[in-house]
Amino acid sequence: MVEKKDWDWEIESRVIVELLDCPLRYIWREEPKVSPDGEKIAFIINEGENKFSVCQNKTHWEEAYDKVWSLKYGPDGRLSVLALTDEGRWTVVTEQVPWENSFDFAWELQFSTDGSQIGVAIQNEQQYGMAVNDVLWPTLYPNANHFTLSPKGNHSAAVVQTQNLSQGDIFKYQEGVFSVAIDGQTWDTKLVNIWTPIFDHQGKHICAQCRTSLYTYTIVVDGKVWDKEFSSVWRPAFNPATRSCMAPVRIGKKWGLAQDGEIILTPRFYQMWNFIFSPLGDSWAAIVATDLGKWTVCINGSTWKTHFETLVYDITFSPDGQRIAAAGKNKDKWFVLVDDQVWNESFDMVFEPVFSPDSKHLAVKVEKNGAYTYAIDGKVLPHSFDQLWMPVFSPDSKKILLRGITENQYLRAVIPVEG
Amino acid sequence: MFYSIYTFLVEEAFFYVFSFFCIAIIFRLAYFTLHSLQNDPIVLKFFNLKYALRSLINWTIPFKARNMRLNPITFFVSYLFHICIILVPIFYSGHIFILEEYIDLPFEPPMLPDILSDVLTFLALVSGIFLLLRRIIYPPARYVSSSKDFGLLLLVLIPFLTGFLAVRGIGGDFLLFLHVLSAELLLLILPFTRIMHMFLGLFSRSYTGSEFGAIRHAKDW
Amino acid sequence: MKRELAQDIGLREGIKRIDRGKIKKAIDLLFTKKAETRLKLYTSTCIHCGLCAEACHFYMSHKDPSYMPIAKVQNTIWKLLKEGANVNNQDLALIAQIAYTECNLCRRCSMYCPFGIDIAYQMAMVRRFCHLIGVTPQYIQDTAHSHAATMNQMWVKEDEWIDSVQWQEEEAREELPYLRIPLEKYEADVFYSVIGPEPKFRSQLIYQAAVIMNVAGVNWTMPATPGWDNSDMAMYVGDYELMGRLKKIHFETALRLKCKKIVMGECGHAFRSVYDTGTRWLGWKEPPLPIIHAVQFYYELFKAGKIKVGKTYPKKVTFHDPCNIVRGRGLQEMARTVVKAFCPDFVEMHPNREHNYCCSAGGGVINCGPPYKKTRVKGNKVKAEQLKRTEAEVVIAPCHNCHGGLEDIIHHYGLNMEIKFLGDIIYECMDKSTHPEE
Repeated sequence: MVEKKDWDWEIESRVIVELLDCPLRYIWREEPKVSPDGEKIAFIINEGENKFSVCQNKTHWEEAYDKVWSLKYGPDGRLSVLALTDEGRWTVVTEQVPWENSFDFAWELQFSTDGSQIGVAIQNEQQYGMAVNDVLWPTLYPNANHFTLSPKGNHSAAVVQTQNLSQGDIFKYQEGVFSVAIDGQTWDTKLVNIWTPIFDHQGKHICAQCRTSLYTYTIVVDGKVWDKEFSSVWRPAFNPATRSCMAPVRIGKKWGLAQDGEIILTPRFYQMWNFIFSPLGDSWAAIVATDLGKWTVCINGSTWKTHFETLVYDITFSPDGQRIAAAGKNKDKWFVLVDDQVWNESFDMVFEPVFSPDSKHLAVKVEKNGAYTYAIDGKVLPHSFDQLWMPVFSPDSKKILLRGITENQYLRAVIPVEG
Repeated sequence: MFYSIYTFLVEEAFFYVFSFFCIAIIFRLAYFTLHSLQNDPIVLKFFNLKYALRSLINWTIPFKARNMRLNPITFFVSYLFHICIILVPIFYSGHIFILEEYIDLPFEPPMLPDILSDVLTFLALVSGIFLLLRRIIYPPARYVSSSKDFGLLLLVLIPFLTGFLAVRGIGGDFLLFLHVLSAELLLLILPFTRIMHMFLGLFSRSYTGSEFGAIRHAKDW
Repeated sequence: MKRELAQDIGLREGIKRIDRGKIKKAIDLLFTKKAETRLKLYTSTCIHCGLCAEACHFYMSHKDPSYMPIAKVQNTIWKLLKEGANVNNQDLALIAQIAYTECNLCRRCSMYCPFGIDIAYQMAMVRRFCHLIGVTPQYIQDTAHSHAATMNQMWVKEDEWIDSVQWQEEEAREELPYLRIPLEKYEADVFYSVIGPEPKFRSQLIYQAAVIMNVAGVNWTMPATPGWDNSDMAMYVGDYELMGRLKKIHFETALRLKCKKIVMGECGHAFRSVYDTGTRWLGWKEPPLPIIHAVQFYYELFKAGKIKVGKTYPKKVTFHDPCNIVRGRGLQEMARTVVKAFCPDFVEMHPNREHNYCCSAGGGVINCGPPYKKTRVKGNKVKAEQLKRTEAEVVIAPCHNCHGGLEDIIHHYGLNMEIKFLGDIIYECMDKSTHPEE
């Protein structure tokens, strides 16, 4: 794996592939994916006679499969797919090397933060679980959802149905048959429902939303349910510094915030969700609706003055935790919202904002009139692209890697950040 | 003695009763408005004047709504009933003369020719009896009617009946007394009964009209 | 009111497990102390005139006043207001039975009440009450359980969803060799979502949608994660917290893929939930992304010349206006434009448009399962008569529940009619020669 600092950060624009020159050995190609460093572009291709393969930078993979899907570059730049072999079994293929294990079905391909661990949801003989780096869970379950790999990839987890339910057995369901399985091993706790298990940074702990009856919602941490019950909850998060757990909770008809089972922000919002901690854990933020159709951002309990009527989405902390950016929408116009200020221009779509490592700059992929470009610190780049990937800042925050397709060429460019 | 009670009822009591009637109605309407702010904010958030009016107008135009065309007689009679019971008490010359005795009106109040008042009162009684019979004969109405519903309708009809007879000199002072008493009683209880539909109906119609028009892009008539 | 309590363990077991304290709390919350203004307003405004009777297909079929809209309020809410927590168990089960299986929440009666009183809202409140006390029909409750566990209505497992989409893609390639159903395609114009029964029982609808999308050259996608199902029996069972959860994941899946709009298959109740009821519960005054029902989508494609008539449909057809997209969204004329273009032999049923009679399956009634099939079929004789009068061979109904309901009615009353989705007609008759070749 090439470290980010060792990527090509020279200021230049380089055409990686003239797409039209790609050898026409396929019937069609699917949507392109590009590597994090921008040096590679890949497609799933149909080679005819129901055979599928992958074409990367003009080169075809040697093997073809009955079906290939879920083409993804991991954070380390390795290319993986899910492929159906001649025997009618699914497997993971990374850089053309298939796993030893194969499955009746595989999906939900995911990576650890560094890309070294690859996880996938699997089904064998109607039993469900996960496999990570070609190692299958020892125990599988009648059903599973919310397949999750820890950030380091050292553990994997899913919400599992611990026993079979006969059709229409509503009372057994209400006694609780769901649990969380970690590396295939379930908690002792069984609950009516569990959603969105979240690993802490070390992969040692898990918190999740749960329902203890049809009417009582709360948070479960490592199998232990909070004492307090609420009329609803949304996805919790672990504080990266203290490992305490916080989640938006609903009491009556209003939303507030609870930490480790205690209310720490009195419910007063019409809605409160997409709760996040700053990278150092000293701040938190969430999207809130102060009233019906009045959306804004709430940071450490105080709300911004700016409101949007249609949507606020993709809230993002800067690395130092001092700044927050988000996308806002009024009717069909999207805006970039940063530190309670709205950038002048409106767009047809605003993507997740990206802060520079030093937190001083903000780059946002935006779409206008069917073409994509970046808006950087409020200024829109003059060039636009037919397709464009998310901006990546250089480790010194001085440059941005741009990966885009224009005039049928895939190019990577490094642009300087002004100021 | 009748005469002094009658005078009291017409003079002082009427002032208090009418004030009470107005205040009670305002309170009831304010209650619903404030209650919705607290307990049902959706109602005011989704209120839309344009579509509220669209709905009200289309339901005011006779036989515009499909249900009116399906039940022409019922709707015709109930239009008639409502027109009569609203016009006569307000514009009957006798009522206006009494009013003018106590208040100096700065304008010439419009009034109905007495013969028209007579006819309208008679029609109010006939249509009222029709509605009463409908409650007994038409199974859906009977199913949902309680003794209160019959009682209320009778209570509305009594002042018209007594007034109609009193004008003809039947029953003498006693009937006149009964007329005033029953009308005032009606005013007193009206804000707390279903007769409030005359105001609340505008609310519910407006809200439904708003939802049908602005959100659902559909007609509601 | 003469009603037998159905053989439904949801109701029969439900009342055995009942907790009196819960009943009092639920009555306070929904009907008395903390009742919404609308409920109080409607209770105070209704003058008991019975003019809503002819709005309801149940009444029109039975001519029994206990089936008229306001009678259902009388036998549920007014009863609870009168008797409070002392209401007996048998009556509670019957209250649930009325609210879940004798009202389709079609809102036709709102158009017949001189005051626009919303009976459907009140019946929904009764269902909410039944949910809170735990007395709900077994089948629809099981559906809600499926929603909560899998985020779809039919216990469809995550791989089964992906597998059925990929299978339909493969099937459709036999017909159009370059056809694709792009899974997880970022930045597509259209996020196409369907209801749980499509992958489970009616996968040919995914096939047909794919053909229409491909021929029309639409930039579209479907997700490979939960959030693909736009349906919502939680709304109809009265579990609004779950309804919000379902709508959230549906919207967030479209937002994750950065699609411009959500196009939904031919389903009515899901549309009601996504564009209005669920959205509102979550705090949106309008949906965060444009929500386009299939009927409107087909109309737009047709108007833009992206789907063309290849051949006209030979049979005599009529059109059934589903409540949730006509009384609920005014799509009646768009639907007729497309229907008339493809079907020259078109005849209206009467009444039609906003005034059309309900299918008697919607509002979660068909989802309450076999114990209530007779009630809803017998309760819709008026629909059978309405269909029969058209003398059409085919009835087009762009809604899943309407399909189920009409199918049972046509069968029971011996009508010789076929039922089609609008997509069936378009798929069969559109000009497919324009399918682009890469």
